[in-house]
Amino acid sequence: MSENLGRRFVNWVKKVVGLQTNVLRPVPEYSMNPFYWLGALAAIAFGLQAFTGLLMLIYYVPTTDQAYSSTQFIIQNVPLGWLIETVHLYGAYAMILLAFLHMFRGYFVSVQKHPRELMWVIGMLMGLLVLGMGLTGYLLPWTVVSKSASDVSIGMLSFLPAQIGNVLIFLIAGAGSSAAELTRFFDLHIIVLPAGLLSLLGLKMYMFESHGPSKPPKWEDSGTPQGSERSKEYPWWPNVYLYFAMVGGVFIAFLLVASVLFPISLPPEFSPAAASNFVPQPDWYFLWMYQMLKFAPFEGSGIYYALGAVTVLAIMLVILPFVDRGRTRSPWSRPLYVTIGLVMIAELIALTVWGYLTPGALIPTVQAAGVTGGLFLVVVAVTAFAFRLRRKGFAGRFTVNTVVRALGLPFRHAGITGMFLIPLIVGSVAMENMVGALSSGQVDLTSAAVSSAVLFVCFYGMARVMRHLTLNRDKT
Amino acid sequence: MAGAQEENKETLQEGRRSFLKLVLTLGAGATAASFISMFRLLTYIPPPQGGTLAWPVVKVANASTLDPSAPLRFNYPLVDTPSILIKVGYPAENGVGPDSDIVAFSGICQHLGCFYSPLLAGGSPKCNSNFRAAAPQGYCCCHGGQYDFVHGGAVISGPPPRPVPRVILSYDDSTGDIYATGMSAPTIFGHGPPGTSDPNGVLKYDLQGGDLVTEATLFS
Amino acid sequence: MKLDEGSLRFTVATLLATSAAAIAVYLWNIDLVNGQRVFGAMLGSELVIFSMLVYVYSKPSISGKQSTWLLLGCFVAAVFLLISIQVGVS
Repeated sequence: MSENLGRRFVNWVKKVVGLQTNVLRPVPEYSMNPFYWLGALAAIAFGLQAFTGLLMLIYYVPTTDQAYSSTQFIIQNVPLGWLIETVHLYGAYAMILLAFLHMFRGYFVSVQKHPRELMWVIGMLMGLLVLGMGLTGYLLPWTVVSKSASDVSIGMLSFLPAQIGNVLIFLIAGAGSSAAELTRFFDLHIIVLPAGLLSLLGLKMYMFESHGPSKPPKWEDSGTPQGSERSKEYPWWPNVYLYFAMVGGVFIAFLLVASVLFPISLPPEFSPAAASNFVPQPDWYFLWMYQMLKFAPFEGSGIYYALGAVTVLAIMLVILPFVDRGRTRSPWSRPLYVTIGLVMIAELIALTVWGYLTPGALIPTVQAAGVTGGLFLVVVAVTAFAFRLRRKGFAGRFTVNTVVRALGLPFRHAGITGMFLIPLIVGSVAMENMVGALSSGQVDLTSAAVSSAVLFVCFYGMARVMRHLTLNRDKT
Repeated sequence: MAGAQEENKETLQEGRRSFLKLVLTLGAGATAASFISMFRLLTYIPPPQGGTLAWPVVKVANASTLDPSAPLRFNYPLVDTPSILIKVGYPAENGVGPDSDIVAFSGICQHLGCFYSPLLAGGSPKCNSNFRAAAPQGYCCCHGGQYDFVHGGAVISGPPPRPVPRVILSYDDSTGDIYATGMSAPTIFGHGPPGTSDPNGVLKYDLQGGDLVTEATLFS
Repeated sequence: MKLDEGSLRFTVATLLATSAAAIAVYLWNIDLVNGQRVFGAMLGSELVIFSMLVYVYSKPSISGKQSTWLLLGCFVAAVFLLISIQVGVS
């Protein structure tokens, strides 16, 4: 009897909520894997941020004299306050990281092709808002680290053309007093930016429902395989809700345990005296920009070039769907864009790590060019090699012979192998010395350039000659 | 015959499936319950700041009567949390007074809560007669933790994971009086972030949990 | 005792739900003010167990490749429980 009652209640709930008819389109099997869910995870992180932020709002006071002490109070005196605060911080980091990963995954499988161009643009806008949330939230504890970093970022706004810059500065920092800055950042952080994010998210979800998840690139280019298990479809209720629960549960679990193991403690409170002894550094997600701004060519009036470069980069990313108009989506058929993407990721990571390691230090031009340029060359070379391997049909068969053959070098014979190991070792040592000189900042540019060029040319030239000789000997 | 068996199997599957649903619902309920248990804390919620919380402000000593060779022990901010005031003799970090050399720190070691002793320059602790302090410092005889009084209570060596909290002093140069007006982060061992344990088994999370010190209970 | 597919899922699911319930009961009874870090870490393992339960429910079979995921989940949940014990005694 009670079982019948239970079932009737469940059916009633299903009916009034509307779960019996799935308004949302069924979801294919191939999209039930974590790569397709990076955006959803970012949204879950956003929800967690909203929840923890709401709890902290009970105690946080957004005035310059009480911001730090109220945050300290939450961490030290409110039971579980430290956990809420730490989860909020790590959740923010997770959200930003997930947003980046979501964008890059989309970039590499070209989700932004027709008909999803607008989704891409809106996504980039959302990414900007997410970075803004990180920026505004960072100031709120009013520590010496956060206030100094925020002041630097506001200062950068003054380099924009006067009309835009002044308006932005007024919106963000008011007449310039610290109190105004704090209240406006607070307002942006809890109302303006979340409202913007939510509305854009709603718009993007609507478009997602319209277009559906993007197919795996191989399928789109060469047609869906017939009767494929992976194109089987599932209704939203219960499958997608369950998947949400699953990935959300694991995500929050890891955040919780990370927060328990590494609870935050605040840096000292901001005061002009403390700030004068302190080298401002932004949070990790802006370290790449910070590092760029420390390059010698961008000092002083050169800052316009740096900001200009970042703006151009952002615009290039935003208009990507309108630039890359080819219909193919597989990364293997888009070597140029894949290379650009990999270079961007490599440079971002390198600049971030480098920025973290050298707070406040000016980077001389040669070193800057060497590191970024060198990294660029390495990534391009590796990517080109990978594409060449694939083109020669060796994908999936990575044995020494296939790799070596793709390189175009003859290592089949021990003698020739020996003849090549020696210049290889010598070259590596020389290269390592040069890299070491670069990272310590003392580089004799001419000798470095000459030696590396000579090495490369000799090595490759020898290889070509040898291959020619070998090919003439055995006709395989 | 075979048809009936098939049907039985189907009903069994059906029964199993709905049982599985039940099990899932129970598991979901348990998880939700764990989250909700967090709200048991509602009975412990302290009032938002700006209420009655304040560091006690008490006069500790007068600069003219302070002797560099006699560090002063006093209770601050609670009756059972000792602190140490010391006149270093030369300017120290955050020092107050006419020579900027009067500093005070919590007397509770940040490692496991022992009450440590101050050492003057050249002094030795009771537990380690081979050790000679180079400058005024704290030496905890429980596990050898040392705090540098000249440099804001920083850990010189030993197991303490963080510096000892500093008592914020204020100097009234018209009368020469020295007042204790607060503590700097991190807070006193046992009253701060979790992971610390209170020897008395009662965790005091805010000043209201303990007896605030007054002029009368400053020295006990 | 060899279990067929359905019984296996059913047993694993019941085990997971029972451990989830056990942790929930424990969390309702600990001294929350003193055991905040324990609470956080155990909640973490509870969420992992819940995710595993959802996984078992949503997959038609849990042998083969799926069992690897479940083993990984058990490992992670166990690690989180160990962490909660460790922060509890420190």
